[in-house]
Order: sequence, then C-alpha cells, then structure tokens
Amino acid sequence: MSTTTIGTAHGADAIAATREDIAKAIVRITVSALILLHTWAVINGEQAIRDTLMRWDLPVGLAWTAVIFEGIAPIMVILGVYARIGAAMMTFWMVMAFLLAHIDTGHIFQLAQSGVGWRVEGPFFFLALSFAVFLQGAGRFGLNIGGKWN
Amino acid sequence: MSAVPAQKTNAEDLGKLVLRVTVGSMIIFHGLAVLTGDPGIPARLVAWGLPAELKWLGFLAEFGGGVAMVLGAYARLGGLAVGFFMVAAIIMSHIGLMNSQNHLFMVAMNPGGNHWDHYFLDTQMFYMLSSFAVYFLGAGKYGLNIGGKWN
Repeated sequence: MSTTTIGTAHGADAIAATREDIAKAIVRITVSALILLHTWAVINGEQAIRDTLMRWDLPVGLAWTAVIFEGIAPIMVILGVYARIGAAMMTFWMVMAFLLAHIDTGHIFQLAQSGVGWRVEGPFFFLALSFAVFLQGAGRFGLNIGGKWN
Repeated sequence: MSAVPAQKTNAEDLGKLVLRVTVGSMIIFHGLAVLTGDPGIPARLVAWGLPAELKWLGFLAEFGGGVAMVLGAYARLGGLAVGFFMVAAIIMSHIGLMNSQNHLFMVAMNPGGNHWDHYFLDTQMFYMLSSFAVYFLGAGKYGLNIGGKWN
C-alpha cells in the first residue's frame, strides 16, 4: 500500500515537473522567436535602432550589436544552450531599449495608438519574459548545455 | 529534505512572479477598455452573429483573469481564462474569417511606418502563450496563495 502511495506521489511530482518544463519551453521559445524576427528586420534595413543611436549621439555602428543581443542570444535560449546567459543578454538589450527609446520619449506613460493597452506592452513583454527565462532557466526540453547557466 | 536548492526555488518563484504579474497587469488594461466602451470586442462579436453583450465574458476573462494572475489567487485559472480568451480573439479577429484580415503570416510596420518591424500578432501571441505558461507553472510562493491546485 505504502509503495503505491509513494509511487503516486512520485508520479504527481513528475507530472508537475513536466508541466513546468513545458511552460519554460513555451516562454523561452515565444520570446526568442519573436525577438529574432525583429532582428531580421534590423538586418534588412529597419532604422529604428540607428535613429535612436543618432538621437543620443552614439555611433550608428552599434546597431550591429543587435546581431549579438537579439540574434545570437535568442538562438541560445531557443536551443537551451547557456539559456540563462542568452536571456540575460536579451534582458540587458531591452533595458537599454527602454532607457534609450521609451523613457525620455514618454512612451511608458502612454496608451497604444488604438487607445487599448499600454504603448510599450510589446517591448515590456520582451524585457519581462527574457528576465523570467533568466530566472527560471531552460527546463529540460532543449539541448541542456551550460549546466547552471542553462 | 528537499533536494532542490533554496536559491533555485527562490529564483524560479521569482520568475513565476515576473511572468504572471507582467501578463496579468497588462491584460487588465484591455479589460478596462471593454468597461470604458471600446468597440473592438463588440464589433467582432456582431460580425460573428453573436450578441454584443458577450463582451462581458471578455471583460471577465481579461480583467478577472488578470487580477487573479497578479494577486496569485487562482492564478492557474486566470491563466487558462486569458489563454482561451486569446485563442478566441485570434480566431475571431485575426485569421481571415467573417470579414477579418488574416494576420497570421503578416509583419507590422515600425512606428515611423517606413519599414516592417515585427510579427503582426506578437502581442497577441505573448498574451496567449504567456497565459498558458502561467497555467502550467502556477503562481509560485510570492502571492496570496489562494486557490489550491488552481493556483
């Protein structure tokens, strides 16, 4: 009888762990895949980052760091290869985006153009979910490379 | 007795908090828009031949689900409600049915309107998938901890 009880408890733990790992995979793949599409836009000539850098008198060439922070980093996160480091890089990137593009412009105090929802909810999702991945790690559905940094 | 280091569980619970407060707090704004007369949801309901009053179901899911996630009270239930609401929203408004545009394979323009910038449905995907993630993850320890297995 006791064996059955222990087995059931372990089964419940395993199910709970699997659900958590599914959620971690959902979050890390969502945030990374969506930020990758933005990087693809930058590579193909989207000017927003360059415009922001010029506005702050920073070298426009810094825009290419997007390839690292929102190109390589999300691939690490998707694959589960040093995912926490990748997520930390994405978090840093989005913090910089808020500091350079969304605070002094007042975006953080505005509603979306449609009047429904916060103006920067998209960027904030990128920031917060990247930070959540950093805190939670990749879970087991990935390549699992990087030890505690995954 | 637990084999899981306390530091790890603290970080994981903090991650759960960040996730559910983010999605919960921002969806509350969309719920409030229903309350203040935004025509978006009623218009789509009417386009589908449904009563506009069903918007209150949307309000319940968005506002109630959002509050549940933020507080950590029946957070899984809130995540499930918002997740299914977003599934319905995407089907009813974004895949080309009943006079809606099909946004599934579209990109959106940047604020300047001079270059494509991101996936058209990125915000909707964030809401839907993050909410289902909250359902799977639960609230963690940083919250009101109300709702038993539904939290």
